[in-house]
Amino acid sequence: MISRILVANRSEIALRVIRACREMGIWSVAAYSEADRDNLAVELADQAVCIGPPPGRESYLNYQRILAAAQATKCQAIHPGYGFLAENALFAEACEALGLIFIGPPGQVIRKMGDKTMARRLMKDAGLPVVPGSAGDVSDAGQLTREAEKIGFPILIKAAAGGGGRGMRVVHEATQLLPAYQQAVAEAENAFADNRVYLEKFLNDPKHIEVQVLIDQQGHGVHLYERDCSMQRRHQKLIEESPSACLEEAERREICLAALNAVQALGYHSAGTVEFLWDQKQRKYYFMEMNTRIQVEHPVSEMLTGIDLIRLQIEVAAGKNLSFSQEDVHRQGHVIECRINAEDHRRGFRPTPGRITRFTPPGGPGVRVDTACQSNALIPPHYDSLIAKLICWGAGRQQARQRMLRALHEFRIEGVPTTIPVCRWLLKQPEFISGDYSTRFLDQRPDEVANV
Amino acid sequence: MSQESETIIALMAAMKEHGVAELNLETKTMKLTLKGEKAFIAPIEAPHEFSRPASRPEPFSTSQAASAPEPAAAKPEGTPVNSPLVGTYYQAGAPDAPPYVVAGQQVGQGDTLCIIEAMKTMNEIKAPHAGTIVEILGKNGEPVEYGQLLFILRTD
Repeated sequence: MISRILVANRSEIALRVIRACREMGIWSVAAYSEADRDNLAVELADQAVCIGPPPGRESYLNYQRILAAAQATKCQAIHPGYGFLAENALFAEACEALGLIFIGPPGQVIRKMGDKTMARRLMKDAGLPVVPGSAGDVSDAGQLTREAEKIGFPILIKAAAGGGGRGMRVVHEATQLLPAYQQAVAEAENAFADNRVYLEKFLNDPKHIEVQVLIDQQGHGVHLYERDCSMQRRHQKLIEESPSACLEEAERREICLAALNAVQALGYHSAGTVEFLWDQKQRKYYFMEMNTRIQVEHPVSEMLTGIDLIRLQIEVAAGKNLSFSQEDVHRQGHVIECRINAEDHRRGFRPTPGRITRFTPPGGPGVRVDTACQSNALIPPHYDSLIAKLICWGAGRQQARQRMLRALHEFRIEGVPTTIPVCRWLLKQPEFISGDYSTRFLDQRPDEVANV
Repeated sequence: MSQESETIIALMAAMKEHGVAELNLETKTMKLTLKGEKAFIAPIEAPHEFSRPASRPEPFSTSQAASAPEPAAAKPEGTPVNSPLVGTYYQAGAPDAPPYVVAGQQVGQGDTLCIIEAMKTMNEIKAPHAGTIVEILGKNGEPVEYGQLLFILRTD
C-alpha cells in the first residue's frame, strides 16, 4: 500500500511524479536541494524537505539524506526519476533493506543491466541479436588486437560502467587503436570509477530505436511500441518520435516483442527501455543497452498510446497487476518530442545556466509541455540543462511535424539561449522530413548548426 | 493464520504507519496492549509542514536560506543554529531523559544541544560557541530538514 511517496529528483521529472501522485490521491514529498528552493515541483508537492546544498553528492545523489528524508516523512516508497540514483543498484537495495519501496526494478536487475558487458551477454542469451563486439571486457593489448581484428574497423571502445552515450571512443584504423584504448580506460576510471572497457562494431549511420516496456511483479508485461531517438548530438538525444519512420510494420512488431520477451526473461518489473541500433542498409536490429528506469522521453509513448506510464509504475511498485494486455495497447497517430535545453548552439551547445526572464509555453490541440520552469525561474549550474520537453501529437507524421513547428514558434523563452532555434531548423531539413536521418546527422554538420 | 493474529498484525502495521506509540484494545474476546518501537514519538495526526520557500507565508519553522536571511520583526538576536541533516529532532538522548537544553540556559562551545536522528544514527548537534539559548525552535519527535532553524544562541 503506497500512500506517501518521496520524490528523489528535481525539476520536470519530479513534477511529473508529483502530478501522478496528486491524481492518484498519494501524498507527495519533494526532496530538494537549496538550489531548487523556488522550483515549481517543490511548490506543488504536498510536502517538501530540503536535503542539502546544491552539489549533487550532497543532495540528489546522497542516498543517506534521501533515505533519512523518506523515513522522517513516513513515506512508504521512493521514486528516483531518471539520472541521479535511478539506476544505482546500491540505492535500490538500501531502500529494500529499510523496507522502503523503490519504484523501479529490483536492485539486482539494475546491477546486471548496469554492467553493459553483462547486459549484452544476458540479452544475447535471451535471443536478442547484439551489436557485434568483444565477448567481454578487454583487459590487455593482446586481447585488444585480437578482438579488433575479429570485429573489423571502425570500432567503438565503450566503458562497461558507462551508458547514456558517455565513455565512448571511435577508432577507424589499427594504428589509433592502442592509444584510444588507453585513453578510454583512463576516462572510464575517472568518470565511472571503473576502468573496464569493451569493444563494439561501429555501425555507420545507424538509427537509434528503443522499445518501451512495462512489466508487473507477476511478470505480465506489455510494450508501448518504439521510439526513434536518432536525432542526437554527441549521443545526447534532442528529438524523439514514434512511430519510427524507417520501420515496416512487421519489423516493428518483431523488435518490440523481442524486447519485451527478453526483459521478461530477466525477472524484470516496472518500466524500462531496451535500446537498439538499426542498420538501415541491412535492415537489421542489434541490442545496445537497456535503461532500467523511466526515461526523459517517456511522454512520447504516453501520447502515442494514451497510457500513463508513471501512474502504472507506481501501481506496479505497490504490487498491483496490469489490468490489460498487449492487444489493449493501441497506438494512434504520430508523436514528436523536442528537448528544450538551456544551451547555446552557436557556441558548441555550451550549457547556459541563468535566470529565465520570460517563459511563455505553447498550447492548443495536441501540445504537451513537461516543465517545472516558469518566468523568473533560475536554471542552476549544478545539474542538467533541460528547461522543458515539448511533445506534439498529430494524426500523421506530417501533421505532428507541422504542429511541432507551430508550437516551437509560439514557445517564448528569454533570458537564456535555448535549443528552440535548432529544433525548428532540424524539423525543416529534408532528411528529417523523409525520416532518413541517422544518429550522426547533427555531428556531421557542426558549421551549419552553429549558424542556425 | 487465525483471525486474531491477522488483526494483531494489521494493528501493528497501522501503528507503525501512523507513528502510534501505544495501543490498548479491549474486545469481548481479548485485552491487548501493543507498544511501538519508539514509544516517545508523538503520533503525527496532520502531516508535518516543512518550511516552504521564503516567499510563501508559513506558520512553522522557516529555514535559513543559503544567502543572508531577512530579519523578521522582533526576532531575538543571536546566532542561528541550523540543522546540518535531514532527520528527526529529539530534545534529549533518551525518551525519559531531561532535554539537553532549555530556553535561557547557558551553554559552552561544543555542548550537545539536541539529537538529529537520521537512518537510525543519532547525531549530536553541538553548540558552535558558548552563549545563552535564546529560543528553541525544534520540536521533539518532529522531522527536520537540512538548514532548518533549531536554536537561536546568543553570545554573551
